[in-house]
Amino acid sequence: MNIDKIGEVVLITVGQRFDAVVAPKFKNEVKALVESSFVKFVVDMAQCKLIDSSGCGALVACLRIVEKNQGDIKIARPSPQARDLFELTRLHRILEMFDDLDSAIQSYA
Amino acid sequence: MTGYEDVEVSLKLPARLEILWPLDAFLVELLDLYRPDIARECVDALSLIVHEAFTNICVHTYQPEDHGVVVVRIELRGLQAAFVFEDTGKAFDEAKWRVPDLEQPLESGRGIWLMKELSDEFIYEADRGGMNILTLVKTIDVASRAG
Repeated sequence: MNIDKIGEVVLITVGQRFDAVVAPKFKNEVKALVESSFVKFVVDMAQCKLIDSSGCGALVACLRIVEKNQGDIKIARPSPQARDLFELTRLHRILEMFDDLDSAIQSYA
Repeated sequence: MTGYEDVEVSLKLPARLEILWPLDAFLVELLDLYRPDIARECVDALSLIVHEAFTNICVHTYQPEDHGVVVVRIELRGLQAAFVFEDTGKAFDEAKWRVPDLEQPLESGRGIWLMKELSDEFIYEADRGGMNILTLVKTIDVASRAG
C-alpha cells in the first residue's frame, strides 16, 4: 500500500490483495489522515487482483469516517475482480468508481 | 470423461493471516497448471472463497494464543473444485447466521454470505470428533474461446 498526496487529495494505491492482512493498516492510515484534516481520498485499485469482505469492510468503515467530515472515498481503476465484487455486494452504489486515475482526482476539483 | 487430470492436495498450515497470500498464490498456480482454460471470473471466485474461509478460521475460530492449525484440502475432479477446511477451534454456530442486508453499508458480515453465494455447496460440520469441517464445492467454468 502506497500513499501520496496530490494537493488536498490523498491517493492510496493498494497492492495485489486488499484483505484481512491489509484492511487494518488501511483503516489506521485513513483515520490518521482524517485527523490531519485530509478527507478527499482516491483508492487506486489497478494492481489489486483480489479484494475480499475484509477489504470491503475497511472501505465502508473509512467511508463512514470521511463522510462525517464532509469527505469522500472514490475508487479508481478497479480491477475486474474488484468491480465484480463491488457489484455483487452492492458497494458500487456507495463507492463512486472511475476508469482512470486523473478523472477520479479531478472529480474533487 | 473431461480430459482433466484429477488432483488432490492437502496442506497443514498455521492459522495465521500471513498464510493467506502464499495459500492464494499456490491455488492460482495450481489452477493455472491443472485447469489452464479456467475462466478468469472462476479463478477470482475460487480465490475469494478460499480467502474468506481461511480468514474466518484465523480471526473467529482461534484466538492468537491458540497457535491453531488448519488443514486445507484442495481437490480438482474434472470440472469440480472442492475445498475442505479442518480446524479444532471454536465452532461457528450456523443456526445463528443470518443473510446480511446488502442494502445497508455493512462493515462486516459478508464473508459467510460470499462463500455461500459463490459456492455450489457450503457444508459446515461443527465439532465432529473435535474437528470443525467446512466443505466448499464449486463447478469450474471454462473460458470461452473464439473460433
